[in-house]
Amino acid sequence: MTEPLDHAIETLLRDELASRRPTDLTDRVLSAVQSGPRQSPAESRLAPGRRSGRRELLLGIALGAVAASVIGFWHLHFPADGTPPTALRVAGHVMQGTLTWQSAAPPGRVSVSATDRGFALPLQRGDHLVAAPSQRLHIAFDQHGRLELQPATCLEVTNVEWKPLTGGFVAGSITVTALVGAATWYGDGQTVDGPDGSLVIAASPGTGVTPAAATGSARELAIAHRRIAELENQLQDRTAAMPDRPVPDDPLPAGAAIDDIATGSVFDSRLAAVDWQTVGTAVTGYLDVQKQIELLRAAGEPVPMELQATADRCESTLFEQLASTLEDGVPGVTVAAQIHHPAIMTNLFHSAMAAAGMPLDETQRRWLTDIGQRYVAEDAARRAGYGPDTMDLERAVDEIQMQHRCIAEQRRMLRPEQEAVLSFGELGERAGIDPFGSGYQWSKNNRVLEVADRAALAQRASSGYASELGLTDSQTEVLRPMIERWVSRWPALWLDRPMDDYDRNSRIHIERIRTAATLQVDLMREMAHGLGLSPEQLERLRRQSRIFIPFLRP
Amino acid sequence: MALPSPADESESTDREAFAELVRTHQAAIWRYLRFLGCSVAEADDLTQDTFVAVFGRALHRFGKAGAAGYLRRVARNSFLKLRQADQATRTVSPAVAEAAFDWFCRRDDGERVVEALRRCVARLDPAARRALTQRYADDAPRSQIARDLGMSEHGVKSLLQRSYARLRACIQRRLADD
Repeated sequence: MTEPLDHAIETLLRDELASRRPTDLTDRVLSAVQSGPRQSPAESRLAPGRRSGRRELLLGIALGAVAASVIGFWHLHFPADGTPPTALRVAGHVMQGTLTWQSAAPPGRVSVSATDRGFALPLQRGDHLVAAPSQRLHIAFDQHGRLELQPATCLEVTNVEWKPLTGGFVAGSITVTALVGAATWYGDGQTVDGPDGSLVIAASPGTGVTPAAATGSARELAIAHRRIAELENQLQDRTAAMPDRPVPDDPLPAGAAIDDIATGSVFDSRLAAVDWQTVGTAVTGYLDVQKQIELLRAAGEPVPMELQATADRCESTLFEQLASTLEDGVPGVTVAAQIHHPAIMTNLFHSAMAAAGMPLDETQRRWLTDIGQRYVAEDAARRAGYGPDTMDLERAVDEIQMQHRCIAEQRRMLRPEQEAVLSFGELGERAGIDPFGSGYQWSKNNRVLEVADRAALAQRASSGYASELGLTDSQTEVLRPMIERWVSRWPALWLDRPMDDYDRNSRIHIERIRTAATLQVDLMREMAHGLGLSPEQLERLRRQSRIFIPFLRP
Repeated sequence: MALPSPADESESTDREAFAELVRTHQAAIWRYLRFLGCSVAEADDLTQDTFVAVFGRALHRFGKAGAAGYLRRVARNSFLKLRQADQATRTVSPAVAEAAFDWFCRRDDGERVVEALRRCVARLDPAARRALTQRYADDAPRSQIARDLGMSEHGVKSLLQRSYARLRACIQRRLADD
């Protein structure tokens, strides 16, 4: 496996040695924003007055202008008798979505999906290229560019021109018009919008565009949903073996309104301004969709775009609601830590349960509030105990651990059916998955060190710290036994367990990260006291907040 | 879960503020997408898609680092969607890409690393520079590099390994010295 440092250097070398640098895309982005790509397909179809805006999109490259770059793009097939061809064969591949090609002449219609990928179509005037109604279609034409069709877009080929060049190649252009929807050609940044789709489709009967495309997409989503159901059953079977959470002694009847819960923090006035009903809907929506996404990911299966888009929308809504509260300075070394502050988490529990139709009862509200208030007091004491010598990583780890204990305690107050709303089962033990746990925070600011054995780990850690802190040779000598002790403290349970597919996808086991973080803090304390660091070195060490997570290669 | 994403406020969004957001972050997003394994054209496209996706969201509220994190997440999602149906072409482990990018922009927006790399490349002897250029910029096979340099393939292999190791050490030394 490539080391991150080598991957970084090699990527940069590829760009620098070829003089490929990030160009200023500001105008292009502003132009894309202006042309309305954020408009949903439905809006696009319903928007009045767009018919007058019909424009043509030139696909390909103008005749003769840059003929060389067309070579390899279109393959000219002369019939055996030498007569001129009647159609160009355009080669490319579908990167995403399903392309349906409806020919104006026999052989009829061909569908190419992202799984089929490659195509070579004899395009001619009157042909239609169609994207499915619920998914964007990306078609790549080798190095020449990429055509992106918004969902439910229908393009008509309105002109095809070409001329033969020497060597059996051709140069030419294809002009297409958006009958419905919108498309963008990422070769020279042109875009094209269609008029009201339903009218134009009605004017071109017999293409069979909409039914065919709808069937394909619906089938894909249906297959994904069926698979999710199977995976959910498997997960439930495995999760059933996990110990039950205790039920509160005195559950009262549900029925609390969705208002905020005061937590005794200075943000309570801000919390009152949050629309917790919207938050609750967003959180439960996120949990529902994210569970499906994680199940598919864990099984190594593709995630339908619709699911990801829904999760993104829920997230956006959630953070939009919480933005002003976070800006107000909820304590936390990161935004993730701010969100996991009990002043917010208590209300997230509250709103999520209400939105799920299982609101917290009075006892639960009281318990959750008490736990949150206790955190606020302990957190203040913790912060007061820090001095200028305290390391950033130490603060971060303390905070995550405190928040973890608090959230876990709050979660134990839930009834089993409430807990089921939140639970990701065993997947919740992986970082970056469960928002009602510490896994999200542990997923940040990590760096994986994959090495051959313990000796290599010690070597790597020594040279890493020596380089990072600018250690002298004598300091490096003193560091070596400290590093060796750090390696020896690693439990075999984790260190000898090789990377699995979850780990490779940034879904590392929370316990491994927690172990790494606490051992690293111990090591850094030892280094701060035992290496005779200069003030500058000491400052670098204190500001180092990345968690190094070692993995031994099998 | 991700960084805060304030409301869509398309109508009231200050276009100049948005343009400034693009100018500030586009290079880092483009680099990040390259680290994830995007081709140059894909990196251009997805950088554009990333900013278009956040148009109207008041990311400036969360400071430069917060906005950068959010944009990276949007870019990463766009990249994953692009590769979703084409997993065979995903050659870079996301964890490695993330760690590589972390290293790249640990000190600043990555300019120090790029500067160190340029200076270290400049210090290589011409044959080493040419071999690395053919290998990394042109994706030339070792046989072609050997022909062009008048060396054996084995000699090219060893030249590339030595040159790369020297370059790597030089970059690390420069960054440590800074």
